[in-house]
Amino acid sequence: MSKHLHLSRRAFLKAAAAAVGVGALAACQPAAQPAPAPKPAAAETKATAAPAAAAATAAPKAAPSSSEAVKLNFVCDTINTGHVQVRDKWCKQFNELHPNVTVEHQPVPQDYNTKIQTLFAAGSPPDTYRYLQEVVPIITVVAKNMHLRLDDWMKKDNYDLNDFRKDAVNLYVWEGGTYALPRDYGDQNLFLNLDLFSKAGVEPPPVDWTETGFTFQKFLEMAQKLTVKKGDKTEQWGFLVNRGWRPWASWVYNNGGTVVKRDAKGVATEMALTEPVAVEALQFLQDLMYKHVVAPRPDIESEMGGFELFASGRVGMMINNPSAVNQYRTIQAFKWDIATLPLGKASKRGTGGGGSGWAAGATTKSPQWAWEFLKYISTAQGEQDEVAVGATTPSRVSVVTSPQFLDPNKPPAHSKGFAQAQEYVVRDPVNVRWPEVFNRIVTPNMDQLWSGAKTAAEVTKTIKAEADPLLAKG
Amino acid sequence: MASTTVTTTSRTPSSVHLTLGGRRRIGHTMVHLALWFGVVLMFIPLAWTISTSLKPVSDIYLFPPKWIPNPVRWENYREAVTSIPFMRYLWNTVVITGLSIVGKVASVTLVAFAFSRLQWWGRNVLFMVMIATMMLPPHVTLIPQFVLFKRLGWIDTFLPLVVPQFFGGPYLTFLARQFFMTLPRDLDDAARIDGCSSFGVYWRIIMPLARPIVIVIVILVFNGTWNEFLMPLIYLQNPANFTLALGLRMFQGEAATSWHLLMAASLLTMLPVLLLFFTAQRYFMQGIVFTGVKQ
Amino acid sequence: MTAASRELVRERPPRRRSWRKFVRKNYEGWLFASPWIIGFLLWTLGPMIASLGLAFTEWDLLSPARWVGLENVNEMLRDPLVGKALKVTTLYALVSVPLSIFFGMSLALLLNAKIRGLRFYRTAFYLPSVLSGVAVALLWRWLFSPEFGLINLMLSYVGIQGPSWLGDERWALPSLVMMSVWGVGASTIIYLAGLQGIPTDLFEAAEVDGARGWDRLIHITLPMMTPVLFFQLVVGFIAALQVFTQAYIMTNGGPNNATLFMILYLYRSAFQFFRMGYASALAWVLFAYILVLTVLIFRSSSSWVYYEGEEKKG
Repeated sequence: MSKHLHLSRRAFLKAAAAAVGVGALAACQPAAQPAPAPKPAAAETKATAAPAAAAATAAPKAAPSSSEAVKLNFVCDTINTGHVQVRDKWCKQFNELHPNVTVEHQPVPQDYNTKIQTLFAAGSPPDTYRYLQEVVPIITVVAKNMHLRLDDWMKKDNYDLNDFRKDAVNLYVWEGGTYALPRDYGDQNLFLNLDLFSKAGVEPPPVDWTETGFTFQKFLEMAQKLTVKKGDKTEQWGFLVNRGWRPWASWVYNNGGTVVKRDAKGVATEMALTEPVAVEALQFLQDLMYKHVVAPRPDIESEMGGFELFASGRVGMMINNPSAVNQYRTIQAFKWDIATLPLGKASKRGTGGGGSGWAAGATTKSPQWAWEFLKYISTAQGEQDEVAVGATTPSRVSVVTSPQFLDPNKPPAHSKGFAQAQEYVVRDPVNVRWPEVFNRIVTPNMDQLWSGAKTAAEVTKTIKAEADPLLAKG
Repeated sequence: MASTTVTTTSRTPSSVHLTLGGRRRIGHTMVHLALWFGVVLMFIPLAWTISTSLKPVSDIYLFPPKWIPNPVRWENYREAVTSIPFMRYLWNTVVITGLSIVGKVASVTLVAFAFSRLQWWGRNVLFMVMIATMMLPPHVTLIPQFVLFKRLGWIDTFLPLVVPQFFGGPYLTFLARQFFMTLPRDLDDAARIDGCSSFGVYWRIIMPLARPIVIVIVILVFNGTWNEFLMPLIYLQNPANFTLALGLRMFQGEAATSWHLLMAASLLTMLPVLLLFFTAQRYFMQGIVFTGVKQ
Repeated sequence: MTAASRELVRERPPRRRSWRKFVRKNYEGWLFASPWIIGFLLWTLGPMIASLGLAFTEWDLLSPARWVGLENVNEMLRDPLVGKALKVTTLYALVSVPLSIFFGMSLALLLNAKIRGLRFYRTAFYLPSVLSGVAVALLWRWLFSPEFGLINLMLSYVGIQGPSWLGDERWALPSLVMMSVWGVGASTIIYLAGLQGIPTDLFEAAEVDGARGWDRLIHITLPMMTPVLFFQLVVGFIAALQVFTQAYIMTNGGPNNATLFMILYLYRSAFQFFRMGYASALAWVLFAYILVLTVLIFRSSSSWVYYEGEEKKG
């Protein structure tokens, strides 16, 4: 046997054990200091002097005074790196205010819903987190006792909800209880390429949500003037159909329809898309792509997504929400602005919208500090922090009308439309089975509308037939 | 008793599948052409990644795309590395990957040895069981496994990511087993006759011959753990523990994606794996291997 | 062969009296395999059994699971999407696996030749598996774009009007197959390792016999590569039947469920519809499906796979 390889089995096992030991040590080391304090992504704005801000940050009457160490976690999706830094900052500042409380920011870079559901399912729900009700409807939250009920805490502190948009607050209220504080409240707006409008000699649409002259027909004419064809190929599109749920629902609302019928409590009971006004609105959208050909078909649009098509200057109008403004601001090649959505047969406009909120897990070890933290991050200053890094539509009136959010130095020039549109938001359907109905029935069937395979009448009929039984069970 | 002398026969790759003589040059040219066609296909995404990583934000969405960025923004790389704790994530990833490689190579070769060179009761059944564990989609074992690790107190540590690597893995074990089974038995038998223990056969006979497959395992484990995403996402919570794969996703938001930073960071993350692959090629070029036994 | 080794070959179940002998004969195998066995018992078996149990429940992740017996199975039989998903998944696997093996093996043969710049070529082909998945997805979406993409552009030079690829119900699945074949370079290293292992004295002997390149390929290389090919076939099918990420990122199961892979449907059931019980049932059906297929491949292997190091049965 070779003299060189003198390694006996015992020695090998010893080496392996040592390796495992070292590995275990390395892995068991407590997490080092959190990410170093980063420079803010944009200059921090001073707190606005709005009275609401003062009221919200006023010290509560019964100040929590425990001196024992408390550790909470704060789980959020990342949105962008600026937001991650803002949240790190919040946790740090909260700790400076209350040295005995450490809130650990735990960002979730992707698959946020999977992670949250895993945490709840495994019995270790987050202490505080960003709550999205498209994923878990508020009914489910209440029925399964997932969140801390905030009413008693709000009463104890005389918490002022007046600065928040009332509808935003109501998103998190069910059966008399409040289960989250509003973070943002978005809506749908029309985004325009102003250069294309002036090139075609077309007046841009109005910006006031109370006006009534901007009809579907007017909109169609505008889109047709903005569409430029070269032979067989279309070089420039008048409009881009955003096939997202809230954008298309907005057309239904604007034509006087609704998506679901609700009962007295507000729970969705059946689909209402088969009503003539709803069918008409959806058919109008399909016609834009296939009959009038002023909007690209989905397969044509698909190379990089709708925004990229708009950003490359080939689309006159598209629908999007305010949190996308950051991305639109990277466009340097042309001027852009926002406007209202067209008004059809409805008496007043409606837009799809909603928001996310800050919630605390029901089984958190320290409800009082979870509440304190929620209060802290939903102050006007907290919302301004997020405004400074973009991608949010604040739920506080004072913030959404503040100069920091409206920022006249940057497009869109008519950013006050964002704030005004918040008053026209129609709430998403509320039903325990809604996520399933939406993902399993509505979306695939709407795909057939977008692909031109079926008419709006057929699609809505199928949706109603399949969805109603599920909604009834909810 | 027969003495064992071992001759070395070269197992270097040879152009045995191209015809000899004067036609070799045409054959070579054809090969080069075919390869270059493929190379171009492979390079398009890389070219786009490099190009985007050096663009100013306003140029990202231009269409047709501007392939040569002007101005060339090297600052993107600095920004990418500073807007997330890049070095911290890099270190975490290195630790996890390094430990994983050690654990996997050791455990996988041992287990593959058992499945290929030893006879024992239940061997074939257990082999099928091992293969079968690859067939159940991980999404349905995600939560039970999470609960298990939670009970152990391993959440938010590297343990769930590293410890299982020391306990084999069906894919790589299967691969190693196949490779081991191509090695002739005579070597084993000769060694045993000389009084070698099973471990001796493993260590002195099989492992030296297994160098190509060990290199492959190292490359695969490196690539796998370096870019592994779902497990770190579920088990790591404190961002100080994050890996590079998680850090990269931070550039991708629901409302906007910083493509230039994402591409810059992606390129930096890609480099170690490519480097390892490139240098490991050495072992696929030579490979002087013991192959024959003369008695 | 000695009597002792003959004992080893016959794997008999133990009898009371020869328990010690049985342990002595077999403990080594168990010892060497113990890392996997222990790991399996610790964190694989438990969760697997748990998920099997979940298949008979209705669990919304938030309240305790509710036992429903075979209701999930009944529902699966009536669910048209299950049949669709199985069809999509099977079709994808049947096409992409043979293609991948063919191209992967061919590429490895090319990359095994003694040509200049070999290291560069091999690394270039390995690139797809290293690139960020997001960049890859984005790029392919652009490549497949009906109006502006490279593929249709090149087709138009030849006078063909390309389809909508990812947006076309009939072409979405083939598009994903194309993407998977593009990534074949990753498996090349495995083929290369196998090719490395073929002793060159075989080739020398063949040359002496006057065999030409093609004959050498058919009669030496391929037979000697059958262990690797077998491996790629088995793991290829197991992986192809569990495809998830591409469908999730590129097409999200559409258009109109044309790329609704089984695991995508399963994932949605678990995390979007809150029906983890149903998802578990789907998972186990997929498991059984893959298992049957794999056993068939294994059974067939004795007729076409050649192991040089096979035990001589004596």
